[in-house]
Amino acid sequence: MADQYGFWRLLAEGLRGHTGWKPAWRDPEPKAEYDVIIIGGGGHGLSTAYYLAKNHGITNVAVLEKGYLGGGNVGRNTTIVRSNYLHTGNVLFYEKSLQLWEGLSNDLGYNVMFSPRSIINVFHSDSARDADTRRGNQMILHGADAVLLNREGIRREAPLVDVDNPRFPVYGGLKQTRAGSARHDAVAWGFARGADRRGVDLIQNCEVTGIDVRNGCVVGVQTNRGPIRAKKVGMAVAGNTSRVGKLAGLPLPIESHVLQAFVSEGLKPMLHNVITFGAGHFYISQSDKGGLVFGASLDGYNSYAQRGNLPRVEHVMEAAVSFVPAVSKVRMLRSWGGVMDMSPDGSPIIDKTPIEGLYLNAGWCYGGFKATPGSGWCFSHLIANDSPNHHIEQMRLDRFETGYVIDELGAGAQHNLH
Amino acid sequence: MLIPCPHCGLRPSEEFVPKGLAEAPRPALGGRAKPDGPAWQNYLHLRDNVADHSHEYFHHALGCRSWIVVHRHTLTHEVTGATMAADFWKADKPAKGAKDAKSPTAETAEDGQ
Repeated sequence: MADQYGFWRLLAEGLRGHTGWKPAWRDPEPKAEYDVIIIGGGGHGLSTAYYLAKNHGITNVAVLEKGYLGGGNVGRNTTIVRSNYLHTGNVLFYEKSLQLWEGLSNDLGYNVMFSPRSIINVFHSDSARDADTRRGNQMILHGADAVLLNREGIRREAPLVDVDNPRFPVYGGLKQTRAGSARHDAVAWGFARGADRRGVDLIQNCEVTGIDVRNGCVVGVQTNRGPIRAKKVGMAVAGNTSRVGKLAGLPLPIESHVLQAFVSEGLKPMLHNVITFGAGHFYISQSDKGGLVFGASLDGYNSYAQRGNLPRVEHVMEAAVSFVPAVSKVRMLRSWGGVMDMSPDGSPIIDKTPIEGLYLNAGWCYGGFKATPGSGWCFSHLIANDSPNHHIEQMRLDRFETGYVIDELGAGAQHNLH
Repeated sequence: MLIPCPHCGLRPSEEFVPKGLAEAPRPALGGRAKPDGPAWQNYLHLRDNVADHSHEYFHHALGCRSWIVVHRHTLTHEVTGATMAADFWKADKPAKGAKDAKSPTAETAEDGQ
């Protein structure tokens, strides 16, 4: 196949000065009509288009992106991939997604650098150990993998963690061996190239300015590059879900919040897993380039700005130094913020909407990256068949009204509890 | 980010706990009548979530412990005023984005609910 990035191609291009590479996808003009329009050219939108073409044979598809492909949250996250969830509605879905991650580079013919280096959730009390034991058992029952580590296990796996911290002594951790991280841009680019090759039109700099609804059915969208007709429209717009939903007059249970992340200067290998601090909401891993990548929870207030405030930066650094004291001498390189689509119960929504032909993929909170392949797999199934597959049966839009919430944290289904 | 608490004056945002958008009033319980489902769904879950001037609940947890409503822009983070939450849903709600002339002041120093 042309433009595969294999060894022989690389060698051949090396010998002729890399003059033979072509753009990885086309830059088409929008057509007047498509079978399916996906709004949003991020990870989820691109994977949805890819699986629509690959699994369901629907190739007359346009992905409309107001900026450039992969310029949103898929390029602004901490690249953690895992399926260590407690509730059936979540663990079924995320385990499917993790299985897709495991074969993704081969499937796409594009190295997404998925690195199953394991994740360890550290706990600091007997009750947290009980909760994590339960979660591990629940994961195993749903086909995921989990191992409970004691304190010595943490010392062995992550020698730099302050196990004897006097305020939050480490009791052990729950480890998922198959979890890990991946190269975030490559995921977007791999799906984009795969979708483009199967005939999907990836249309950049094309902002949707209206959604046309007639007699309760979607008939197309208005864009800054003219109207486009389609009987099926899927929304995968993350932090902008409420704004796009408003174009169709949909009231949605979403609040937009800013989440910050950080990366340090490059260092020699010092952290081999993804590790999370149980006493505060903090997670850290080391990228292949050597930078420490870490983050914590939301700033807390509603925001559409892709930047946060300094009190949260201070909080994250405090958590980092409490958990892994060795980082106190490390210099920070960059920080950034992404706009999260927060749902009331902290779990996503992949469902039909009250408008016929309009489909919703939203509420990813801070877990959207690991869901990228699974989200596209399931969302494309929903769009193609007009009914959900069993991975997303509980991820309903009306679950806050009916009370069948997926309350992963056990905190309740209200905004700002997650 | 500095927040003009109506009771304490201009205070750093670290003293406050944000508690989400103030978009709909809490529905009345209505005695023995069946709860108004759509009104509660609207109050608890559905949000306009605008990229514009908005109103948000904050609790001044490390200060006077009042519940206040902060008037803030969600794109620029500019704070234009704050009112006591107890007063917010009464008549003459300030328009979104309008500078709140009364804030900050000690006049409205009643205990928010």
